[in-house]
Amino acid sequence: MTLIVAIPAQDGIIFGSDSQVTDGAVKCVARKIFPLNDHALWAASGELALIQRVAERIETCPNKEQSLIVIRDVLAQFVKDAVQSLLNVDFRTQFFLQNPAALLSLHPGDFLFVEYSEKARILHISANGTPEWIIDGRVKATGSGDLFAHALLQKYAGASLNCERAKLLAYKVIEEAIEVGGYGLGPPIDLWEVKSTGVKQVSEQEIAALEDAAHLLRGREVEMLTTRVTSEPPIMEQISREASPKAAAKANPEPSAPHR
Amino acid sequence: MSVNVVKQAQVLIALQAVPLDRIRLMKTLFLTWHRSGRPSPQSFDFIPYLYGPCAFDLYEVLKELGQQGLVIQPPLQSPKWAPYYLTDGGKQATSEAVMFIEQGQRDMIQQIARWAAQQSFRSLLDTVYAEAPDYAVSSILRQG
Repeated sequence: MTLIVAIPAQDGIIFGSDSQVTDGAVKCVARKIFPLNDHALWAASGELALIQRVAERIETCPNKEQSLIVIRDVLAQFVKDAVQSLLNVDFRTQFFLQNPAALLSLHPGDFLFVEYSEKARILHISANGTPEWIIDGRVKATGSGDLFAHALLQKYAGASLNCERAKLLAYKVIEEAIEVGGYGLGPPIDLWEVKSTGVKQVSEQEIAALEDAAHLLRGREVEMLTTRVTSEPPIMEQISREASPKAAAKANPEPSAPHR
Repeated sequence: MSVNVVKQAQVLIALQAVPLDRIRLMKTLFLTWHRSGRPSPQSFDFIPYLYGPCAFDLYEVLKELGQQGLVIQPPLQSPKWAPYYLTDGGKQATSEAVMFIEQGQRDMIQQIARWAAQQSFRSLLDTVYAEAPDYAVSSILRQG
């Protein structure tokens, strides 16, 4: 089970994941984000065997230093080849030859590649090998917690964040998905930033600082709603009262004339 | 005397006054540095961050102190927000650490720590931002 989140920012792109790997009844911690080159990263959700086969192909790819624009179809071919190679060794394949959807479900996988070169790019490749660009500054999430993440991120669609704030957003979304989700997500949260200067993993100390910032932000969100309800009248009631001349006069009485 | 020893001493002295979670501890150490006229070189490396002044190195120091068995957090549901307490070893280390920080500075740290322990996060941040607006420039929690 996995959650991977990609958030484009003004000055880079933030890539984050949880770190729990589930193998049957056993869970362990593993890294899920990997450098592709000095300006790009990749990550995947799905079957570990499929991810490993794609990783092997990426590792030996002679032109992996090139931009995603150039190697988009090469990467898509890697995914397709990896799925095909697994199907070739899987005895179940023979039972689903006439059913492509069922065949693909045998080895699920979803791949994200991100890079920053003048602008942020997110490339999504599904297990059937189809590549698509995530455009218009949209965020992208993949893995078992993706719907939850998209629900939390939707209100930020098109928002222009700098990398620092995008890191906080990515951290907060993954943290909340881990806390609430019952689908095998787990800490630690791994964050990377891709900027024009290169790729960098966010340090353990900065992750701790993000933890504190997210904690304060969440507290402020709760405070904003709860304090208004208890200390101020509901907004419709307030508007109605202000619209009433009688009430307005009562609320703002004329200054009394001075006595002679 | 290494910078790290001074950092550890500051944290231990603050926690000697009162147990603090790491946000209140962060603001305590910042206000001490700020009210001391921001001496240079500074011990903790404060930057204007998402929640005001923040020194990433404090997290490292807390981790080291925990590994050395000098501070401990009680087991809470969200242990990240639990206050840090001095252990017996931490109390012993604090009595030795006082030699690295002069008396006036020690008093200031402890006075601010006691004050910070009684503040809500909101009033704590409001005070810090009012006193040091240059460290509030990146804050997502600034009023107005």
